[in-house]
Amino acid sequence: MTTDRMVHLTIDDQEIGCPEGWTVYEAATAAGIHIPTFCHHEKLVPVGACRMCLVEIEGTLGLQTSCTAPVREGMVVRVHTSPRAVEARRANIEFLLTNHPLDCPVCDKGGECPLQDQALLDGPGNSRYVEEKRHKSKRYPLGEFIVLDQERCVLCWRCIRFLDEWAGDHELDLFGRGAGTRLTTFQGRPLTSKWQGNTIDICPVGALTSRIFRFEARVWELTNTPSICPLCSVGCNTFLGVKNNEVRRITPRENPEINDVWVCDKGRFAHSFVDHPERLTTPLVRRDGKLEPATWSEALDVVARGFKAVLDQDGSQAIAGLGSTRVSNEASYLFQRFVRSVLQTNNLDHLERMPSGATPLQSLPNLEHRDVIVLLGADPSTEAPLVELWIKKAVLRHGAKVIVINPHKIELSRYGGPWLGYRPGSGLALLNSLMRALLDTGLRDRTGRATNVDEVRAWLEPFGPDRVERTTGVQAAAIRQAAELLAQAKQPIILYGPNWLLEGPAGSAALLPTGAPSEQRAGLVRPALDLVANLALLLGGVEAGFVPWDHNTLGALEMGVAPDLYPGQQPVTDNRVRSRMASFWGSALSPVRGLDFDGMMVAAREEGLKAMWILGADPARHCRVAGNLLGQIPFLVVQDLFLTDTASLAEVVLPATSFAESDGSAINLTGRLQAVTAAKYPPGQARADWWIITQLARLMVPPKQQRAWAFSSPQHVLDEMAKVLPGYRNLDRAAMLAGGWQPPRPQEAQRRVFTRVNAVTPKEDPEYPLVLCTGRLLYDRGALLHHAEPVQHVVPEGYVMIHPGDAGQYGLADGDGVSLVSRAGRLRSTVRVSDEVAPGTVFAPLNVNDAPLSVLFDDRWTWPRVQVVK
Amino acid sequence: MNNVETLCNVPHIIGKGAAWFKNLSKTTNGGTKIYGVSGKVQRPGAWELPMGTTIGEILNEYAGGMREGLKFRGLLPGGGSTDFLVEEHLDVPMDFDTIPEVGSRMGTGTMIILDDQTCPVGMVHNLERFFAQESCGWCTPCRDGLPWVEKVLRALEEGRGQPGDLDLLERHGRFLWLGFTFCALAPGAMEPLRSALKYFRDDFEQHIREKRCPWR
Repeated sequence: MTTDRMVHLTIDDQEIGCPEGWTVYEAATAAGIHIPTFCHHEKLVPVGACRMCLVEIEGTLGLQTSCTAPVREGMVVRVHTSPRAVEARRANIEFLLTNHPLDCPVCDKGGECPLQDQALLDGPGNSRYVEEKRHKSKRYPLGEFIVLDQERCVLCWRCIRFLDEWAGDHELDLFGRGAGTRLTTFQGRPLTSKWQGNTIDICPVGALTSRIFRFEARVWELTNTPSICPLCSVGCNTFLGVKNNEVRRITPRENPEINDVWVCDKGRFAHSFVDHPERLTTPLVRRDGKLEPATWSEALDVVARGFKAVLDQDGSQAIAGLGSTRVSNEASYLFQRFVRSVLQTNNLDHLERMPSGATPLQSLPNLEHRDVIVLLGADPSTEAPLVELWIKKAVLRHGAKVIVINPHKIELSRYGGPWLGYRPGSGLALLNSLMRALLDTGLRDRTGRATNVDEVRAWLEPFGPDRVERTTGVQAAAIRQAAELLAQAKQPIILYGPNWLLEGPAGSAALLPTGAPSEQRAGLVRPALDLVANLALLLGGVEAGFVPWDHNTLGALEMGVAPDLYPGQQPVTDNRVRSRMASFWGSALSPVRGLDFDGMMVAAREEGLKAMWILGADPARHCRVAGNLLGQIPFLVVQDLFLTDTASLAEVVLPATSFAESDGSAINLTGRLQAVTAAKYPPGQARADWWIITQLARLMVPPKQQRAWAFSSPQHVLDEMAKVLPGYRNLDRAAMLAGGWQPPRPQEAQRRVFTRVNAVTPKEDPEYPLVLCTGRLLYDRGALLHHAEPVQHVVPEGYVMIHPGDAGQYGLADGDGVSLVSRAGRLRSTVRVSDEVAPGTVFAPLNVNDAPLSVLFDDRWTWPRVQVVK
Repeated sequence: MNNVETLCNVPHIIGKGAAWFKNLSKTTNGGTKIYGVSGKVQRPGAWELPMGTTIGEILNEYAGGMREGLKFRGLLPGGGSTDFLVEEHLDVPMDFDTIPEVGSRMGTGTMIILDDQTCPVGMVHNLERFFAQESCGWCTPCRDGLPWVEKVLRALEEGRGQPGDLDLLERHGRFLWLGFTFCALAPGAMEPLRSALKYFRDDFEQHIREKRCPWR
């Protein structure tokens, strides 16, 4: 335990002061005194097994392991000034090397191996050992990602302890004893932990190495460029190790505010999409109905003429732009700038748009200190794994409780917190009921800041836990148990995900016609947000944070890729803001509110949408119903890494760069602005988004506006963003490159009033008796992972999970091949019978079936009702 | 402490008093002790005797001395992880205070006798093989050091000994010692080795010189 009290000690004649509770090892290391270690790792609980860190401490008989010895006032320690300790450490190196195979020339760890380094620094330089070395298994795959060499293993327990202490996945252990001790898994089962890759980094020898990186390069041949993982909203800091212009491996880059020193296996191993042979390497232009390779000047010319023709004939309202939650801020910013100032329209949107009323999570490390964590329609383990790791830290080290409010169980349900498995669409009623149960616990004192508690009591009257049991499918006892936990919580937090937002439309009102204005549609998620705010207020104004799915979800919104919002989420309808933007962008801007994606698709159906530019999105796959209409848009331009379903409908396809090939920035789930640096050249003629947009703008704007498009690098784009975005004036580029820059958070007015949310029971449909809900798996066949071959081995076949009660009723058994049928479409799948899904609900993971689940959806806002037939 | 021998003393001490118990002993360590003798003696066995009975008395009176034709060379007084004692120590009383004074430990009080027709190197090798196998594997010096010791001794026994081997064994005796390892297993294993190198050094050297075990 670290306290504020300082302790003074002498190490190698050096006077050192350090906080009480530190170990001698920590004090020495902080003072720059080298002590070798194998078993000790600063992120793990010390065990004192390897004896490499032996030091002499005055007044003790034997040598002491400095990694386990706490500092004491007046202590005198000798590390390098004690011949006995130096000798002992040298002896231990010699002992370790007796059975180490010394196959450094063919070992992937060679060049960054603590055993090599310490053998040179602290070892004897030669060995007297002439006997035969002991033999164990040398190339033993521990699953898809790691290969174990038991002969190299020095039995330091680091990997075991990491999986136990951080991941909570006790999958590795030592078996046998003495010299015959072997590291392996229980009964030889493959490792499944999504954190296993970290054991490669912390292994002090080459015992655990990556099967994906195996023999790809010597580590000194790699150029390690600092980067950001693009595969979820956390934005883990990484290094991209590149050799011969190929990404060979990804390793974590320490950032205490985000990923500490870890990264999940998806982020680490799923990088081969970058160098995939199917990457688009040249622009494609449709000629005689077929997409044919073209030069950039040809392709850009076709696009410029195509857009101009539509502008001339049909006006700017006939054009739209669809951006992405996956591209950089610079790309998003320039894209919306182009659509607004060159195409003169606010018809701008992106899929998976975060509602502007959702609040980002404030801090990842702070999750460790939360005692009750409510997960509302969020599954961090698959959607944002680092969030899971911080939650597990809270659970494993401090005994935090996790309340899971989700139609199906998630990995974090394993800690025994209550699971409120509701039928999709009844979430609002459930949360009202939870609040009612909370009030019943007599939580009065917490709600002091709220002004209308008594009103709330009256509103919540019909939502007694027993009364909602039938509609929500959640047992009253579970609701009460969750309420008790929350009532006693001192530092609770609510995390909610995109799936929770869908409860708003489902539980609040009848569906809007798709032709409704975009603001009205955006308002559909409002009740879901209001209820989160209500719960947070009831708990005393605690934090509620949104956990989005995609890499740059916050960036796409912040950069203004939305029909009603300029960069910085400033309203398009505000004349002052508009004239300010117009002066920045050197062009008059349309005051007309734009179409959102649904509006665009309605326009497409009514043949009012003549041209569309889609950047880094695949709606043809992910919104099949709307996607079908894309083919009716006469001039479709798609910019992406691969020839997606959407791209194959296009007139022109523009090959873009991946995160590894262009500089840029992204905003992670806590609002942190982080720099992404190009680590390699793009394949073929692929070009960065900012470059493509700039080139096209220069072709289209009149000569006097050319200067407004004189960007020569993404840094110039960032310069303009810093001027345009409120709060970005003090943008600290050095911080952004180092560990990320946190823009000042807008001062939020502390809510004091509960908002009434009426929950409407979803209508039953006897023909389609079940509700489908979907969710992400960690590994799937989505746009990028589909092209990351190594992780494809761990993607399950598509399945549909159904409650045993329902399975019985419909005569379904595990493994049955079935059709999922909704009013919109049908899809083949396989049954998994499990009580990990709420009765009346079926769960199917996204992006694992050949056909997208979106064929079953009527729209993007409601879970479809389905029947499951053999 | 749940050793049966210890527990058996308790009712007698309570029933008859401490003074009675102390008086049972021949030395200042009170009470009785169960001594055992194994090795090539006339009557291997275990006896409860007054604490402080001398080594010679136990060996000759109770175990009946060495078998016909064999001569006494040394003994481990308290089991495999204690230092060798030799001829000059036969008059030493076996108790907890006196045995350490002559460089060994009482341990279990069950002696292992070495005779003149058994190879001391082979005996130590046998012990170290046992300890190497018993190592739990937790800490480096014990896990990797004991098998090394065992292999060097085996090399000596098989006639593959090298001139530097005794230095190497002595070095292991230093670094597998108290204060270097996590527990006392490795230091215990070093006790017979260190003392054998002291009392039977000639035998070790003969193995190297003659490139064979003289007893084979």
